[in-house]
Amino acid sequence: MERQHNLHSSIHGSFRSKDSSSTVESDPREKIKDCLRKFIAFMFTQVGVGALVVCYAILGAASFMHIEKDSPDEQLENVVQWRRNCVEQLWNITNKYNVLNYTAWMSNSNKVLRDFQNNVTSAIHLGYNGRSSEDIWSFPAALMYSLSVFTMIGYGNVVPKTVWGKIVTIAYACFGIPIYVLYFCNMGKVLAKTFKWLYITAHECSRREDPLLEDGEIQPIKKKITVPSTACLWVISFYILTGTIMFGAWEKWNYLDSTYFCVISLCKIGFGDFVPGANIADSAEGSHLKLVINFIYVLLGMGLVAMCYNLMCEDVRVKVRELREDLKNCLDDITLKITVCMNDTKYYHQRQTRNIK
Amino acid sequence: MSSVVSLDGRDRPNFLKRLTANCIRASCSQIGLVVLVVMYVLLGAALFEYLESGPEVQKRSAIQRSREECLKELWAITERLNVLYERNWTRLVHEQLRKFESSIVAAARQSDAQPAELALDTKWTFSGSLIYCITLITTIGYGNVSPRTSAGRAATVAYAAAGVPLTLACLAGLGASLARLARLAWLRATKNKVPNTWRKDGELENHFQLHEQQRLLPQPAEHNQYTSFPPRMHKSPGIVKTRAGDRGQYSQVFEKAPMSPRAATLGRVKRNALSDEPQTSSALQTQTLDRKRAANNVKCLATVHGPSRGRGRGTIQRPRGAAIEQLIAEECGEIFVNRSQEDLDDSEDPDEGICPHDTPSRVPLIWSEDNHKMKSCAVPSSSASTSVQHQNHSLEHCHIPVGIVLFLLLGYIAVGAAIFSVWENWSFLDAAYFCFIALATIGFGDFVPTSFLTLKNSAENSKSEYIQMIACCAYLVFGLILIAMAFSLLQDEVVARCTQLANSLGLTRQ
Repeated sequence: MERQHNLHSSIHGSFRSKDSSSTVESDPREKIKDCLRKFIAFMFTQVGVGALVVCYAILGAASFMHIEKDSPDEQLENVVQWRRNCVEQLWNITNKYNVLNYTAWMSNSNKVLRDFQNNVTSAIHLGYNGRSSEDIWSFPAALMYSLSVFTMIGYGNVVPKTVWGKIVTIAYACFGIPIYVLYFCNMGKVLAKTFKWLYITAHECSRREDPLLEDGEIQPIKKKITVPSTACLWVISFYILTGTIMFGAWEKWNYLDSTYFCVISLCKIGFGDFVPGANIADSAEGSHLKLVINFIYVLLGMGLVAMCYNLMCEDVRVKVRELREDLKNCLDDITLKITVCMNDTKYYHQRQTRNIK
Repeated sequence: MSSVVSLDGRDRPNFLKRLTANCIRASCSQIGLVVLVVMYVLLGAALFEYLESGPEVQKRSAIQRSREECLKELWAITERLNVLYERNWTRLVHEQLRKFESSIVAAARQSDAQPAELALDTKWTFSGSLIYCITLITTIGYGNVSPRTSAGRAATVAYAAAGVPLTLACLAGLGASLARLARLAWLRATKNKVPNTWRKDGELENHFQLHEQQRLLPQPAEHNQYTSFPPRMHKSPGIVKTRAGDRGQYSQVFEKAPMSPRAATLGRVKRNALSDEPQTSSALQTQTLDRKRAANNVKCLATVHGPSRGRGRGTIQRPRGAAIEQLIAEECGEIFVNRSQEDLDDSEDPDEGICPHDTPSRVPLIWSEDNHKMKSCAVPSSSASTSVQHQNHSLEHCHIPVGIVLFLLLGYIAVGAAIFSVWENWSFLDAAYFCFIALATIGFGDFVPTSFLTLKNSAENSKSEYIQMIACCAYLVFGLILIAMAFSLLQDEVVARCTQLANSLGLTRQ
């Protein structure tokens, strides 16, 4: 972790006073090796994990697409069958009422259509989607699916139907979730450090502008500054606002629905009732772009949530510790007082009894 | 004066008492959280039921409307084609039906309706919204039921924003407590084997080199030697109240115990490496070691003797010299730092504190903590350090093998799959898939237990349905707790191995 630490210091400008761990090596080869090592370590930690996540998602998308594309949709066939039946029945009805009797025709056709509707709805419950598997499992859709699996969001608008699809989903989740957790922690740490640095710099700047703070001297900030939770909340709110505007404009959702979607996605709940670019009616190209944008938005959003979690944890911990110490001190004082009191009374009683004797 | 006496017999009742005290203390903070979560869920259920009872009817009529439209179109077609050619007519009707179908699909996805006419009652009964709230705050989020009204959605946003962190904290805390119990059980189970296997235990190799010396130390029998030297009262550095015989005896510090300087430096460097705080190497004076930190009544028992038994980072050698002071300082500093780094933890241990003594040689140092916080050393498990040993065992570093934890999880999923496949008439694979997806909080919603789909009126719900629903919920919640426990058990192990891997690859220099 020290390595990481030093990399941060070298990358974020030296906001840490600690010197980087590259020891003074006059040998250039050593320097090169050192640089290389630093680079590899960096790749493995920050950028590497991000790239790993993206690659894993792409890999998953490709495999799911391949697996699920040819899944025979039984429901589709059923629905087609029902549709044909419905048409036949309607034809029969139309024939029967050769002299077109409006009301009779209407009521019978209504019944037929209602049956058809029920059938279709039950088919929907068994997974019918209105589209064939090939339409559903386009590459961006598969990408979103992989993302929703390993980020544990789980939208559910696109689900695997084949046996192999389900097995591969389980395996994919088993490996993907730890990778994602790693990404989450890393991203959170990086973003938290960056944000803290920004905050401290802003703080220092604002302090420096107030020269009369300490007798005309500018006191170096000694105590450790923790970023207050409100700052984190502001960042998250801003991000959600951005998402709201973006999705509201593209998907023609109203702003409440967009906010709802953003929060549900970022909290990893993922109902799936709103998914950008997943409408049947959307054109293919438009939905592709939207899905990619959604992918990026969700990944970044997770990073921000991790960052807030990191920062807020610290803040909360500090506060809780302070609270605890205050409580303890309070309790100590009280117990001390009580024991002193008791000792006094005991002593007093002893004196009394001795006097009596 | 330096006789080594067995502790076991006298110690056990104390140990048990202490253990129960720990458990109670831990569970109190846990229970508070759990109660809070339960109340939150009930409140949310009532809220959503109120908000969402209305507009279900409207959605159903949307389907009805589209059906009527379709009918009108069909009529128009029939009228238009004065002579009814079947093929023409059929083609046109097909088109109309397809349009009708896509409107059904769209409406069904939106409202997740059962055949609309069958669902006479709204889905948002109290139990329905209870399920909804549970799936919401555990972030599973099936999506088979989701809010329709704007007020419902706004309420969902606010409810989730507050409820999700709360639930996650609660689950994590429960998982950590469960993990502690599991470690305890494991230690009890393997108690007899410890001295023999300890040396052969390959896992120890992975731990930090600070342990090497422990293995080199002479190992007398079972127990460890803790002596209770004066428990240090806070704020009164000078006062030393002897409590001889509290835990028993004194034992000798192995002065000559091999503490390789490499181990010391390695240990120190590792601890440096893992803390973000600037090292207070100036805090060498043990006297200056924070009285604040030694919070209340720290019963300082030292463990510092060679033959400690305990796995992992139990005992700390106390060789003399400046290195020791630094070690002590760093241990204190480290633990302090550790605690500041870890997650908000469950058990609030008031006895947590370290107060080192710097005593002359031959007098045992006393270190201990009554309640060792699991996680305080869990995070940088690599920091091997300092832990002060908990009673007889170093609970936190007892390693339950990864295989067993995974096997436990798999078993749980298998059991759930068997149950669900029977109840829901799914295939075994589907049920296992459902369990896995639900426990990983992914929650697609393609498979949802029928007891979660509260179609009927609550009056019609039979007892068995309710029982099923409650059983499903309990299964999911307990599964989530198990997963949290598994995380907490495996976490330090995984971190240790990864760090070791990184070290061996030369990615991080020591």
